[in-house]
Amino acid sequence: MLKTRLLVIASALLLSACSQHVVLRVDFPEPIVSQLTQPVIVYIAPELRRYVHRYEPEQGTDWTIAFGDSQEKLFRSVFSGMFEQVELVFDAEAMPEDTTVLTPVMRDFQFSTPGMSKTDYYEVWVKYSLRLSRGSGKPLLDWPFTAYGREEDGGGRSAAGAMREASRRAMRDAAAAIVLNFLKQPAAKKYFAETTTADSGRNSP
Amino acid sequence: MKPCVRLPLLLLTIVLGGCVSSSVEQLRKAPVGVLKKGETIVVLGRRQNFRHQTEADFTRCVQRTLTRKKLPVKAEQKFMDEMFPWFQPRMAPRTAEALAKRLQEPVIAERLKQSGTRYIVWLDGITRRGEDGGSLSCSVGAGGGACLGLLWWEDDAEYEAVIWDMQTLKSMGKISVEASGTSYVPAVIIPIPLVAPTQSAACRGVANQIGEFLTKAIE
Repeated sequence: MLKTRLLVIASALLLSACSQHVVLRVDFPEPIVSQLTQPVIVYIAPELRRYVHRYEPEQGTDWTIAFGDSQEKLFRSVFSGMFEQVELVFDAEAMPEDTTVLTPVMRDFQFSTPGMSKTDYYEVWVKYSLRLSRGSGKPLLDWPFTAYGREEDGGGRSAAGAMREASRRAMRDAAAAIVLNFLKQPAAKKYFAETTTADSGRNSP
Repeated sequence: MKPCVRLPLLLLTIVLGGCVSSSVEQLRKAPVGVLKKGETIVVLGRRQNFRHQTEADFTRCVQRTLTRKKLPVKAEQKFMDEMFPWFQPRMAPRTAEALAKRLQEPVIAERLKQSGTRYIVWLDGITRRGEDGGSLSCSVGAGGGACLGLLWWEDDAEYEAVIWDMQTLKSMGKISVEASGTSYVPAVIIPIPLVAPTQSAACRGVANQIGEFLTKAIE
């Protein structure tokens, strides 16, 4: 019995040495910005909610990075800071037609470890795009942007812990990119200027 | 270990382990800043530079040293959350003028006022590995193992701290510190690393000078 137990422990240790599993559980603060009054729907597609990055090289460590509900939390907090009324929708069928819809899409995820880059850092790049549309119609804007985060190796932190921190920083950078640049995109700028005028026209006595 | 071996080793550690020289320069533009009740200092490490970012442990070291001096230091993460996302690496202002411009946005100015952050200390710089040399070889046999040789390397630390007053939105001054240290690993049977605390010396230099810029009001 003792032998079996030792064998199981030894196997578990060996397996954990060649595979890393990271689950992101992150909260994001709401950004401090002047809010726009337009109500917006944020569509979180199932593939964004369930995004898991798997890296299985022939040699070396396998990595699994699961985003869990952190994507949902990220976009909820970013858009709640930017707009006065925000509703998250998870079902494309349930999307109201005559509303402003923002759809974040995760296009790519890449990472590097100190072993891969020969530096002292765990680095993460996330490529997103943010679509702006009216209801389920054709996107008026499909804006791609890349976010970056990194964490130093060492300091008593495990490899999975450092990768988690680098990913958290990349997601915070994504929030910063949206706050800084989304409303500067000509199509978004024009759209929100027009809808603000239309809304104020409707609301005026 | 016999006392006759232990004593020379201890002496060697004391003599060689402290091989660090440092110089500190201060450029002051404003009188000593007095922190009133509820006001805090935040120490931020520059992270804009893609390849050479200020090490997190250096920033933590300065924070800890200032806290030991009884100065009210706010945690970097807390400040970053309070001011999110305006001090994220992508967006952080690089000059006092850029900060003043950013704070023209009323919501940001209001949040900064609410947060009680009076002074921001920006740390920039890095500790780099300089020259190295020597050789050390170890061998293991049936009767045991042993090493023989000497390794050495130099570390060069160069940091700059700029202190901003959030009330006047001006820079109070700048502190520059340079430190260099040589570390050794002599090995006669057992290798003994004698690491020069270059970064710690730079940290103490910066923190002591910041302590001369800022003081707490007597309550």
